[in-house]
Amino acid sequence: MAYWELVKNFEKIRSYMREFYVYGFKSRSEFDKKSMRSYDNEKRRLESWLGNYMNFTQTPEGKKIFLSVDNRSVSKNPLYKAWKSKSFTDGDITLHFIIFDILFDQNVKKTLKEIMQIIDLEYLSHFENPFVFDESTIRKKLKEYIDLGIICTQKQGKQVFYYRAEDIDISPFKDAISFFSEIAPLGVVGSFLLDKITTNDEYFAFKHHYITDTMDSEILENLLVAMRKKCFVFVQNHSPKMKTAKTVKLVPLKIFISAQNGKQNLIAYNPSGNSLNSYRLDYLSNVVLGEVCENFDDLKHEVEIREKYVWGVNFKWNIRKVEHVEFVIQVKQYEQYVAKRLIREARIGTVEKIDEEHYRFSCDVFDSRELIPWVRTFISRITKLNFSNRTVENKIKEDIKSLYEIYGISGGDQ
Amino acid sequence: MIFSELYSAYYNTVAKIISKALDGNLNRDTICQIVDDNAFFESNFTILPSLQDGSWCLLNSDFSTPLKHSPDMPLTTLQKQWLKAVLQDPRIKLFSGNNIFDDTFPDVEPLFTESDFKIYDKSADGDNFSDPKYIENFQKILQAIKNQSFVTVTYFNRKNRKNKGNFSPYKLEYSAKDDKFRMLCFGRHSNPINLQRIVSVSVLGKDCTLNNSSKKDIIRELCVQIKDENKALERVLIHFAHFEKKTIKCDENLYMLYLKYYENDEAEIVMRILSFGPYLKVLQPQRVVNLIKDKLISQKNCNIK
Repeated sequence: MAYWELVKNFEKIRSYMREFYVYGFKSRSEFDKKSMRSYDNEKRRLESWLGNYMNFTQTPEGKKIFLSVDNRSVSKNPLYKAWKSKSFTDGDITLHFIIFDILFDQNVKKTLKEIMQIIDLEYLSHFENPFVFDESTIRKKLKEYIDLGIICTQKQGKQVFYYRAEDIDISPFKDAISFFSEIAPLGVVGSFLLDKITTNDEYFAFKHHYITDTMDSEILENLLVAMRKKCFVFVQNHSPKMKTAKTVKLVPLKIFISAQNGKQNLIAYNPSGNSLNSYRLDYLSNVVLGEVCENFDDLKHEVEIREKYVWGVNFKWNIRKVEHVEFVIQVKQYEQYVAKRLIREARIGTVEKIDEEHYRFSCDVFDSRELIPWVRTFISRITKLNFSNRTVENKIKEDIKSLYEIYGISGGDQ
Repeated sequence: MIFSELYSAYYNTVAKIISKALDGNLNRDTICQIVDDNAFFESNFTILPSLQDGSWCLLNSDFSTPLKHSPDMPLTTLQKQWLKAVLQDPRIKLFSGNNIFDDTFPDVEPLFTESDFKIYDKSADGDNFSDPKYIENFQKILQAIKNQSFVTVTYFNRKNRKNKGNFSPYKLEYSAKDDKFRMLCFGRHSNPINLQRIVSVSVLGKDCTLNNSSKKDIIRELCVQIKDENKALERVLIHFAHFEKKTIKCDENLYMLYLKYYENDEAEIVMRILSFGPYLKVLQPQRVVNLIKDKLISQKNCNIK
């Protein structure tokens, strides 16, 4: 099939985008995909869509392509362009513009036969070799638009009249859309709205701005639909913990988002294991809606009562199985900003001032390993560690020892 | 469905081309320009020929069009649902002020609600977006940015002392991690000001384009060695994904990461590197290496129990 810069299925490009944006160190031959031609085509597409942000390094192993964006310097997520690359047929685009030209106003109502006649007489007759749209094709297109909410129907006797849905002026929301398209879930939909307003206004900038989740927008959309309908889903999980992708049946309950690394995790009930698990959205594909889950609200409540023991995303069903975490830091009088940081980053934990120069953090969690990275940020002032899970405590101590070795700080104690 | 041709760059571009045709101002060069401005790098290989050869029956050979109205499309249900969802976000008050958007799309269910999500690691001391004074200040600053006006701002600095000054704001910067807004201003000595610290804002009518050079942020490059154990490589690259960066594979489990950061953020960068423990080793710049060494020496002196 001839190359075209548009694609039918986003899943095809999703993994390449991720590779180029997050990793960007593989050469063409190192790609573990179906064929070199597939690599060449997807690379070419991404260069066409995102040209300014594509770079390369030349190494003995070959050319290595990577996507790089300083997110603080851009007001609009450049990866949204990839979601505007859906392919279509010549008939699709022709019918689209003609139908909405015929139904240019909400008061214009036409039957299917009338629409067909107008298409032939007033539009296609201008062309030497025009399309021939049969009744079934136009009916299907109109049905598609009814499902999307942009065409409505009205029955008068036995006749069905088609008309365009009410149009709403979204310009009063311009600034809000501009902001939320970058920070709200499924912000790409905000980008679609901004395309209608044609604005180049850039009044906002974003710090700590992660856009990696852009590639998982379709997965998130399908999960949200399932959550609205309180349904099961069947989803393919490509977790590296498993040798091959596995289809699992889940009840999607909540999405946990990290503001510090951009990851999105689905918290879901797995009926086969009777467990509450977290699944990374970037490992999921092919979400299919299942039947209604009768006890959805109860399961959602179970998530909520367990949240107070979750530091990150790791849940457990058994509330009694929690680990206790405590550590003490030293804070000098002129370093009160450190105490303030401890308090504002404490999440589900509590902070207690022990004396003039020491603060204790404590919490009970399902998985104390999740605290390790955050505890490390207090290296320079940790005076005491007390974890009920001694393996985790020792890991932190060993890591600090290793850091001394790496940076040539002599001696063996912490 | 999010992935639909209705939202595509091609459909948007063709809509603009048809509008131009209805104005009577369309020619081959105009089509190419519209395509360059609105579609992709290779789009002229498809859009122009398809319109000219009649594959898409939308343009006549003389660049007129059989269409009679400037193309537009109503909002899809998905778009309305998303808009409804964000109109229920507490931060919408910053934009709506006293206007209530509750009655927008009464028959539409929001695509998501607050209870569907949790941002589990944002700061607990985010800005108070419901405070009427905060909203008033936000809106004044936004207006000043749009009109390129000066503002007089009274605010508390980091040492909690009240200051007052004239500024020329050019952007409002938001951090999801801190859940805060800051006002970014032109001028060599203008540091960002947290909106939560602002007491009052007065908009001055002067045009501030005379001094529209932004303070040049000093950008430094960090060189870090990554030991890919315990999935460190993936965690590091995802964590630093929002920086301009480049990664090179040196060995089976050894990688080099080069990333560009703003000098003002150096202290934060050091903390973020330490959060990865012994899986990261900073090689350059030496000042960052020294900062880490200082912290480790300090830690040694703490004698962890």
